[in-house]
Amino acid sequence: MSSKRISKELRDIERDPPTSCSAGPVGDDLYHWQASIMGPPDSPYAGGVFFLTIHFPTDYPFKPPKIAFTTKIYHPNINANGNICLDILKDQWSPALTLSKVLLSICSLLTDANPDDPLVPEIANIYKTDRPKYEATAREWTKKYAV
Amino acid sequence: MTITIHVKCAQDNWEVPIEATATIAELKKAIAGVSSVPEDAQRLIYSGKILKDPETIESYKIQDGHSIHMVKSGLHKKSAGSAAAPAAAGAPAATPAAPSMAAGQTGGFNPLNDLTSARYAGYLGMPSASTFGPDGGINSAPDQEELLHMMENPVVQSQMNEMLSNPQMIDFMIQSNPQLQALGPQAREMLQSPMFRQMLTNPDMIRQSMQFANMMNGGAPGGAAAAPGAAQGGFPAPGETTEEAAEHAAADANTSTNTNTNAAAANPFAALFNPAVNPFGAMGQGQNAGANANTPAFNPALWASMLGNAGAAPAPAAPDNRPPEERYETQLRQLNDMGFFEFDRNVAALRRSGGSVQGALDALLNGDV
Amino acid sequence: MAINGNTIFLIFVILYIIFSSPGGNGVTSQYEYNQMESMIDQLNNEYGSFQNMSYNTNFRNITGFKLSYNDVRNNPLINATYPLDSKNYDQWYNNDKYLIMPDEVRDMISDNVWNMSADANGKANLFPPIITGSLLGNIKLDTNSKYQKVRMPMANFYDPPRDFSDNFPLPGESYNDAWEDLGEVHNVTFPKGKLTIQLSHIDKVSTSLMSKTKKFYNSQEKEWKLLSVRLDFMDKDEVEKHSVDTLGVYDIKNGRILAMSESGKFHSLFAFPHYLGIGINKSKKESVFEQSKKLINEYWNTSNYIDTLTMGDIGEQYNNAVEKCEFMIFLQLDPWNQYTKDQMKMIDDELKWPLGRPANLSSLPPINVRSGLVYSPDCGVSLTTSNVKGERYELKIRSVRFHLFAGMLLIATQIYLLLRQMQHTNTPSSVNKISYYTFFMINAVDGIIMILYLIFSSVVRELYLSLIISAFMTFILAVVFETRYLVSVYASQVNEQGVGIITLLRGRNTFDDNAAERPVVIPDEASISSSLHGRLSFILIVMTFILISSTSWPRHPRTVFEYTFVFLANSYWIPQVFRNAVKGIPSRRERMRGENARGPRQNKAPLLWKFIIGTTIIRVLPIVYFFTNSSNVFRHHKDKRFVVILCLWLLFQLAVLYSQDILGSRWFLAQNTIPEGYSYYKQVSLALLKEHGDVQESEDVASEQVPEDHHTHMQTSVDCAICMSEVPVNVEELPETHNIDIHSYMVTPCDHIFHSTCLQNWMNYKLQCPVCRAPLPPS
Repeated sequence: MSSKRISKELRDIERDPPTSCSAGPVGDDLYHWQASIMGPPDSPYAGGVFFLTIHFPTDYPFKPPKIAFTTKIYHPNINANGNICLDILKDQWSPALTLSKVLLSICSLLTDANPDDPLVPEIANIYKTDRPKYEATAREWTKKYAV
Repeated sequence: MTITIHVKCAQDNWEVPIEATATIAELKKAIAGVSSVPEDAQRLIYSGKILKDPETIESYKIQDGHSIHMVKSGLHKKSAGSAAAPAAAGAPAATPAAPSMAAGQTGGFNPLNDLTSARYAGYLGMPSASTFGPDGGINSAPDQEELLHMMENPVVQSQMNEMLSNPQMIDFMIQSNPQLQALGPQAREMLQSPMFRQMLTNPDMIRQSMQFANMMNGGAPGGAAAAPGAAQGGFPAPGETTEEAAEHAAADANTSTNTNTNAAAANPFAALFNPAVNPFGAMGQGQNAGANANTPAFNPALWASMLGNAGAAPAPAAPDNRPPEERYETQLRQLNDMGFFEFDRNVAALRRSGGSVQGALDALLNGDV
Repeated sequence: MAINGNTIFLIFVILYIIFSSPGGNGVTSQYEYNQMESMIDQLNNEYGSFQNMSYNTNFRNITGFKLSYNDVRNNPLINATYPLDSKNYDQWYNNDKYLIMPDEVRDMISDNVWNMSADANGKANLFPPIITGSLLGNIKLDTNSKYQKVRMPMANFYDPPRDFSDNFPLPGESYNDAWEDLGEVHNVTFPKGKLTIQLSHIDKVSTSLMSKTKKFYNSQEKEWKLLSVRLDFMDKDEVEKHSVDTLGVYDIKNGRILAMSESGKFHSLFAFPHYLGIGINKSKKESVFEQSKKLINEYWNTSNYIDTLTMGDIGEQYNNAVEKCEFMIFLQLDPWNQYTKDQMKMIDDELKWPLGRPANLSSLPPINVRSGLVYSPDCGVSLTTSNVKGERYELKIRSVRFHLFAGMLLIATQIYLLLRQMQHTNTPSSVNKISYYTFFMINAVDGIIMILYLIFSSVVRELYLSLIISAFMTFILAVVFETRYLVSVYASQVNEQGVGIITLLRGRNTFDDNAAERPVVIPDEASISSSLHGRLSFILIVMTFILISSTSWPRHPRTVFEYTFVFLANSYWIPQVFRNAVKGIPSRRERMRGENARGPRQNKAPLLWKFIIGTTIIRVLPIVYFFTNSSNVFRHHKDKRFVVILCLWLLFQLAVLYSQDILGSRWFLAQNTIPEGYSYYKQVSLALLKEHGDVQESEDVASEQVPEDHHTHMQTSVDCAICMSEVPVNVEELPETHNIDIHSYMVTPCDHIFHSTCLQNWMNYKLQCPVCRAPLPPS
């Protein structure tokens, strides 16, 4: 059941990938994908390419996929291990969500962070108090790691 | 079989027909033709992976009509390329020193066990590998001032003390240093004497002797290599003024032999160098500034090599999380120069050795990676 | 322990002592210091006088014994002073010229009470040396008017200071003729009542205030023992209560006990030797006197009586003097002639340190007070005891422990049943059918039991291990499992908060204004859990206080409270009946029929039958035990009638549940009042399809679901958002789709369509529409 759905999503992504995201199985294992997100142009991550790993659970789509950044990124809701604090990846998951929609939400998370529910409180603090500094650091990290 | 690939780049979209068997490099060329984005600035992404030049299109399973994303990048550094830094000059020096260091590293006794043990875990003042340059200190000796600065660090002083009070350590030092070996049994004695220890660990002392050495040498060869080569004329005995020391040393240098005179006790370094190697005498007389490996024991190279291990082995204070290409840039360049071209192997070996080229060499040569 | 004002005062006084004075004896001011000094002086004098007493000299200036009954009979208002002109201080006879009781009472004692030194044949009787235990019996009033009251003055140094500058207490003593009714009634007014006596041996005493080491003092321990006697007697309705907590002397050879209350006006410690001589042969009088005097002396010396006095003692003595009558208690035990001395010793050893000796403990006779007399000299009251007996304390502990084991078994079974039940309803839709209040009541009762176990574990030291294990098991049951279950039940029903019952019954088919107002509450399990736990803890604390205080209420209100509480606590199936009716679970036959069509696990009954019956039995067993077994551990009274009523009530609840199971849960409600709940399986209108699905009019392609020979070129395809494949739907307006089984797809109230299996699977996790997140009614 889950493999059918994952195959369907793969076909959809191949046929019509979203603008700034790319995803596909790592090898032959349908349940392990990697994805890449181009930094949204209106964010300090512009110009960078961020890679992610995706693991689909066996009871997908009833359980959310596990997504993590492998590229280092300076973001209040993404920690050093690449874990993402996004509600739809946890308790707000719905089986109607597809991977492309999730990747697009992550893109929009990059553009508009959520400092009120941060995974890295220090960055959230800087985001709230000194936005230019945050953007500068984010740009610097993007240049350093994601370009 | 020609397939058409859609290339998406921000707002732009191109269609590029190409052979399925073509390589990515050729694809980039084709894209450059269509989009006028230079090949070097292209980064192609498909299925979440970056497409590497040597691979073919069909190895990535790109099919007809599929889309790939392109990102323009102008800041990407290539890992192979021109060498910079003082690597070249240091290379020959590295080689003779290398075997001994390698021997030290893989030998049964690791003199730096203490230094790298958990006692020092988290201590941030340790001389990190970067003190000695990116390649772990083999090739370029530290600057005079840097070295002194390092010595003023009380932890380093205590480490030195411990090192010197460890007889095994002394053995190792003697082993690894041909000059000391040549000295014979007195080497041990001398190294074990508290006076010597004091000299090696007291930064003021070292400063004094360096000044003295500078005076002695006059046109000392090379900037870094021989400047702290103070012991060419022997160390001034503690409390002696420089002139007197100079005379003393000169006198000692001229006379021959007796190693175990009082002078030796008061001036162990003089004793060290007197009976020993002729070049010292020669140096004392003339300013034969041969900046070769026959510099006396107190040689920053030896220092550096001793401490280089110390520095290289414990983890640098701040974990360096940059991507490997950046972190090991210089080291990789050197390895490339040496003939190791495989990026992954090199990176793995460098990781194992903590950034030290020597260690990486070992690992590569031994086939550990 | 009766929680009355006296005890609480005592507790505060002791705390004050412990936490205030460094010296340990609680003296905090000059006044108190002088009070203490005066008391010490007085006691020293009296002890000196006690030392000089012999079996044939009178009391000299011992407080409370300065007057004899005769003195008072002649002159009721005589002042108690030493020396009195008319008294002979160098002699002693057991008559009312010297004793503080009238001759009548003395005769009663020597004839009826203390008369068991030897049996009918003259052979000496054997009495058990160790008599710790709690005895229960009856007491009846002989007279409270016949005897003259003996005035007992109290020294003035007991009084509190008059103002702040007072440093020295007043000398002299005063009489409290007008009793202030501070505590107990200074008279016994009920004709018949209940009596409890708690006996325990004082074998070791602590030698100083701060030290914990205790020294043994008694050199005559085979014949004389010092007891701590606590006597409580009250009327049947438990309105008038009296209590005495004092020292007593046990004369083992004759099996008699003498206990006298002690207070600031009645220093009875020094009177034991003389009063133990009542009813004794002349020949033995001297030896009895000397031996008992020796006992008291040893006690005094070893316990450093004077040095271990604290301000609390002064306070206690003051209170006892002012608030209570003084009582002298004469008890006679039944002999245990069926055992020899060695056997008795073996029995005692076995009880103390069980090793498996053949002591045959189960057939041990109870400690029986054959006859007893309680006399109060200063209130002029005399009472007789009857039928006072109780078993040895150690035996009682054993039986309580056995009961605790049985309790643990019950708890373990309950945990097992609960776990099976939780497993049975492990999806949100099935948990939705469970009644929150049923489990709340069960949980509350279990929580109260846990707290009671915890409290008792610190009170009864011998049973600490069993009690704490039981408390822990109940904790696991109540706080871990049951509360967890409650949280999941609550979470699945949180959307129903504030919704009227009729709307619930209708299944929210009609999305009226109410739905717009109520925010869609997405249950956050952590906050639910914390709020439920908080609620539970609050209720537990309140109930525990009420329950514990209810043990001291007079009998009638307490019994009413108890019965009501037990009855209510056993009505826990009623909310579940209610919930079943609300949910409209079809009858068993229908469920069987429906099962094949919709697949398993669709319409199972919420509660497992074995859970229902098991829980009921487990909970009713202890109640039945306590109310029917007359020799139950807590000495609860028997009431078979109540037990029968309770059992019938429980059976009634079970019957209703069963009927709901068989006949459908709404069989008792009129059919037309409630419509069915929301049904997911229905035909779809074309308009809906156009709105939510993907309807294309196409000339060429016939959709798979539609038969070949149709004319409509509608491609009615709706994609299931969960598996992303097509869902064939049965459209009203399109007759060619009418062959599609409406049970193969489900339509949510928000008009989204999914495959049945897809949506059912999702509803096992959350009752929320995958597309629009609207709350879904359970299927």
